[in-house]
Amino acid sequence: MASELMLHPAFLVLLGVALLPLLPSRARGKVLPLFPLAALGVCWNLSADHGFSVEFLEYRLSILQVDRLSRVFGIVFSLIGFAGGLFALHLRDVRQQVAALLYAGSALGLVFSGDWLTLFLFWELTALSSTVLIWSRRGTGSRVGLRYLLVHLFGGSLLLAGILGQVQATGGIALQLLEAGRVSSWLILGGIAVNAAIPPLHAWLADAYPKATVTGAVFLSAFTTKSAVYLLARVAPGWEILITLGVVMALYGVVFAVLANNIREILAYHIISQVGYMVAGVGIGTPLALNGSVAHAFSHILYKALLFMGAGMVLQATGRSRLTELGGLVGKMPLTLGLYMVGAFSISGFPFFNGFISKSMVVSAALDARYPAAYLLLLLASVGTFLSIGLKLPYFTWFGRSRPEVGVSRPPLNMHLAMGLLAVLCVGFGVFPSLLYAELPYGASYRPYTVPHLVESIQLLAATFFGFWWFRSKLAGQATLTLDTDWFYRRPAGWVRRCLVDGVSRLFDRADAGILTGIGWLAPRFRNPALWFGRGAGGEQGPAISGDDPDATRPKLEFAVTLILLSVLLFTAMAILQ
Amino acid sequence: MKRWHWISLAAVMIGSLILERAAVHHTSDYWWSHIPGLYGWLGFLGCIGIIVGSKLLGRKWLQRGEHYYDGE
Repeated sequence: MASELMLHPAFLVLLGVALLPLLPSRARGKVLPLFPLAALGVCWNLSADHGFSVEFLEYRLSILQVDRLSRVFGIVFSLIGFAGGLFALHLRDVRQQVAALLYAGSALGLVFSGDWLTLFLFWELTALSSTVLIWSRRGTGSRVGLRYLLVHLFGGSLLLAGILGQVQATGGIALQLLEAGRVSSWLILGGIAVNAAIPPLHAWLADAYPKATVTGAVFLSAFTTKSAVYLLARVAPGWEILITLGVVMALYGVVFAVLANNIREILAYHIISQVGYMVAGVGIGTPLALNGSVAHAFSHILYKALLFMGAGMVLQATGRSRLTELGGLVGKMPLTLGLYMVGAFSISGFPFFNGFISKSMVVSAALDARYPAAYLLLLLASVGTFLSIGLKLPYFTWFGRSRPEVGVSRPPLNMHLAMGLLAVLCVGFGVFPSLLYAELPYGASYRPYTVPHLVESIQLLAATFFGFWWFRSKLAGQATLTLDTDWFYRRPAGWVRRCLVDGVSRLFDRADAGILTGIGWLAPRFRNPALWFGRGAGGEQGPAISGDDPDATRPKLEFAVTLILLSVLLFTAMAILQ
Repeated sequence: MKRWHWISLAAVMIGSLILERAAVHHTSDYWWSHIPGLYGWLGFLGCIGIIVGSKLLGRKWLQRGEHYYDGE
């Protein structure tokens, strides 16, 4: 059992969670990336159909179940855990370090789960650990983190309700394909939709990720949404509704990224957009489309982490992340710009970058499966991706109006090294796509470098640049906030608080004050019962007695005491006579 | 943008149009797949459409002051 656990990638990383706090603070940062690196080695050597399970109550929990789908996600999760650890090498915050490892380990545990209960446990652990990465940012982090946690607890509740229904319907806990006719299937889909950031359940992502810590955002960009894509591919391939939802996601993120002013918010909205391609691919459901979704998840994790690293370095070096406060950094941060642009070219689908070899699979699959509207709209979304990530963000951050008042501090070397590693991988997989294609789970062949594909990409990208240059002044950042579907729970929050918290609190205050007044009125009367009969020397306020001298009141009690004794005698006599 | 940047971009665009005409055989039966330079048009008009449409949506409906939620 113990030896099997040591060969589980998730438990190797979770071992780090237990060991890290015991290490000296100077060593923690250096040791942290070693755990995901060990997990990567184990993942690489895992063979399909490998697994082990344990008995729990009347169920058998499949803690490790390996197939080609879980293996490819395990590889990329471990890889990004290592790159994120390298990026955070300089960090001395044990809370963040432990949370990051717990988050990576939970995501690995999730993709290797073979049953609903194990999966749910790791699903909730990812929510809790990722919340800590948002809470760790000083300032707005606590309130945003609470919103993030509540939304994910809601999603987790949907998932749990669906799982319970599923277990009751099937009589087992094994992960299996969802059936459209069951309510439990739709509840599970709702729970997954929260984590996949499918509109209208997506607003948590653009709300929280820009406010996470610089290093935490790198981990956040990788695990939650892609775990959800994995689960969709596992249990709901070919659900046609996912095509519509995926296309809506792809375009939704594009529109909101154009309006966003915060550079990390722009990137966050483009997570939603890119995950839209993956969701649409799962919905199409052909082997090529499913391979495209998995390949795009793999590519996306690499280039999105690279982009968040670039934006995070701008934030760390300048203390700013709004386009309205940035500009002219090219002379001060040229290396960061160069590495960021590798990520930008990748996400935009430039030939010889990894986004090209994966995004085009999903788009081609849409046309092959005869979804022409989805095909054209996904191409339109890729125009918007290049517009915001490849042009707007770098233009107004590194070029545009220079701001001499912005000071730039020197970032640690390890941050550049982590960006360099991911940049090499983005280009490597773009130039040698077979390295990735060999690991894909479904049997479908695809050639990305054909003349039609190259013509399509070159025309699309060059023409987008012309459009951007013509209208670039309209894309300058504006110091505004864009309403999103979180309005529905953020705006009424004040009203709900006034009614359910402030109102109840006021009621308690008044009851409290009333009780104190009552006690104030009763206390002197119990101390001096003569006051009940209005015989106190001090009238309503009570007699002016000395609390130390009970004899002072004694003569005034004679009437009351006599009356009480007579009453007792009278009642006793009546009782005896009856 | 310098002059040679524009010349390079124009050369790439024209080269892709020539390549499309010479080497791309449209087998799809959708009417729009036969439009010459389809992806160029989609890129240019799509880009402008996204900018204008998003900005219109923002100005008329979605954009608020940065402190909109401060009282929550």
